Amino acid sequence: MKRRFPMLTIFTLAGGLLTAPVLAGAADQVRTRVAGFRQLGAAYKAVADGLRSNDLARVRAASGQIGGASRTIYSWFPRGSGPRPGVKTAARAEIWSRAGDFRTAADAFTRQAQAFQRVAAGGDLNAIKAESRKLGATCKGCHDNFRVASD
Amino acid sequence: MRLNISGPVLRRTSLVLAAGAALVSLQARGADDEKTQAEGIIFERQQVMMQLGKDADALGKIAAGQVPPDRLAATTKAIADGARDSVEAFKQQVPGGHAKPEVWSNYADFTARMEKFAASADAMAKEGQTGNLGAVMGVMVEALPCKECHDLYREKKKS
Repeated sequence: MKRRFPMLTIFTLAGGLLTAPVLAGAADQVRTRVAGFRQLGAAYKAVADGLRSNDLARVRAASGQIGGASRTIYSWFPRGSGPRPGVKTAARAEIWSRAGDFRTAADAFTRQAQAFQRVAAGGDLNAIKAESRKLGATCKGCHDNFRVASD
Repeated sequence: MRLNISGPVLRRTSLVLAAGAALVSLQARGADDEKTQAEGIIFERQQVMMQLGKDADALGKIAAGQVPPDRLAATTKAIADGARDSVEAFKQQVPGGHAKPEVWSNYADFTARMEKFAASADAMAKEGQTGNLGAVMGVMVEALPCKECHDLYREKKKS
């Protein structure tokens, strides 16, 4: 009887060696995305905390961080960084299968982040609060449709 | 049939129609703005509750000895701040998100529970500032009545 096991093992190992860099690349992309969203989340929290304590300087600084992040968010979702075996991510496959809708949602966020930054530069607390809620609504719009529910 | 509308009547009719269209458009925009603001409020409170969950997890790990207790003071303070923020976050009675309708129909009970949670979390943070893990663990169950409230007032997780 022919021994097929060694050949199978060789193919499996070779396959593993070939896919490992792809998975590692995807894992790096996910890490970059997670780090970006953590910073974004921290900045959003700083806005909320700043508005609660009337600390406008904090709100302005955070609005700048959010405005900056909103310009780079498009690069956080390269093709191939979606859900797949061996890669843990909260990004839903719809980001890529409904790329047009995702782009629209991301554009809405970016536009509102810039608008929020402009209003935060002023001193009208009520306007800043209203714009921060509009910003939250754009975050929620994306989370509801394109992110795995965390709770 | 031929309509005989004179110039002034036509102008007046056009003005009335234009004003009506503008009013409808303004009302629609107002409704959109209101919905956007509501979504923003829901998102704010979801963020507050999510952060609370993370901080409670961190405290659980400290209590279980999985994480060194040097973060005890910061973590208990974060929970106390989050609890206070959560009370504020639900003051705007906007239905939606994972909040059950009972939050608003039993609002007095819900608010009393949230206030008690905030007070207990404050007390736990005071113990946390001393670095006494045993004392924190002694009040932890009372300070974190998360499940009790979630069972009553939060939509079940989707499986």
